[in-house]
Amino acid sequence: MVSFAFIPAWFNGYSFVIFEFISMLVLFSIAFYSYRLYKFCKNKSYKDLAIAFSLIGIAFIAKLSTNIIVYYKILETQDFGLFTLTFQTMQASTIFYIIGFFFYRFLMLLGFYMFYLVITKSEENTLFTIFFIVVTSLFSTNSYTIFYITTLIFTATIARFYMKNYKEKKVQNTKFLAISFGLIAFSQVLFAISEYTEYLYIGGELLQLAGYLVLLRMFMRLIKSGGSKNKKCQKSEQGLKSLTTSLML
Amino acid sequence: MSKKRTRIEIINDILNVIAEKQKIKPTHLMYKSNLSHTLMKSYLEELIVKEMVQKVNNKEYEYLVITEKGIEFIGKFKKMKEFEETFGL
Repeated sequence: MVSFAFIPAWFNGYSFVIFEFISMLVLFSIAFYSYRLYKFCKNKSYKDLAIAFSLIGIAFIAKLSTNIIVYYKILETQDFGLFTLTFQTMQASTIFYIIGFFFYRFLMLLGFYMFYLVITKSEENTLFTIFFIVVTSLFSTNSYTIFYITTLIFTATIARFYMKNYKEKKVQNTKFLAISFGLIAFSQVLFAISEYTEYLYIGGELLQLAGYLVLLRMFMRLIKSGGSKNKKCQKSEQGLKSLTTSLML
Repeated sequence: MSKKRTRIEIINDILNVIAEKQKIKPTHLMYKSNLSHTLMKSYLEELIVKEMVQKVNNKEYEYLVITEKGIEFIGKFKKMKEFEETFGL
């Protein structure tokens, strides 16, 4: 039978969909916001950040759709109870599973790598790293540990970068970013060792969700604080109103 | 040495000066926003076309006032800066 990356059967239903859906929603919201800011200021970093978040979001779509389709396909064949039919559908499911999860791993790693490049303003040999990402994605089909360790390296580096940034500049939202990526990095550790017990996988999913929820909290703070008008604007809005009134009179 | 201002930062500075003063003469704006006459003229023309700044003629002088679009721009710029600071862009 096809293995679902050590996901217990009871978890592979609604809870799994909700968990992944929330993470996806957070990622696409930040991507959309960053793209809107790019449209406003035409700074390439905002566009790259939007692409990085979108890639991670699309990776979640690939994971979610692969899980849902493969999961329900297998249940369907179990209802038939015919050996030949079950076997053929299993083959198709396995191929779909391999392709789907390849895209999940590839897009996830590419997204985190792009994020790392944007924030560190690094100009290293990207082609070499992309090749490394493709190889990791391809060869981690039967060994999840390689993929999770690679993701751990990226997320831990991002978390460390933000922690350092927070210590220097003391921006509260940056602290939230450091916590968020720290949680996501720790969840990768649990995923990497989840073959020992399925509860570690659930723990990983919970930690990952917590990481994305902290990211959402930071994003909400960012929108709210940025939306409040400063004194200069309030003063000039009043001035504008009085000017319009005097012009009308 | 201070970093050279980008185009969007100059626009934000101009709008902030006008917003702070509520109404300002073009020559005063030029000094306050630290720009040459030629640059100031080109930026102002653009801001007037984009309806972020409005010219108001008094009996003796010509004043510049910020419009709602200009205020919106300042808000958006502030959001952008906070995002930039948070993500370290």
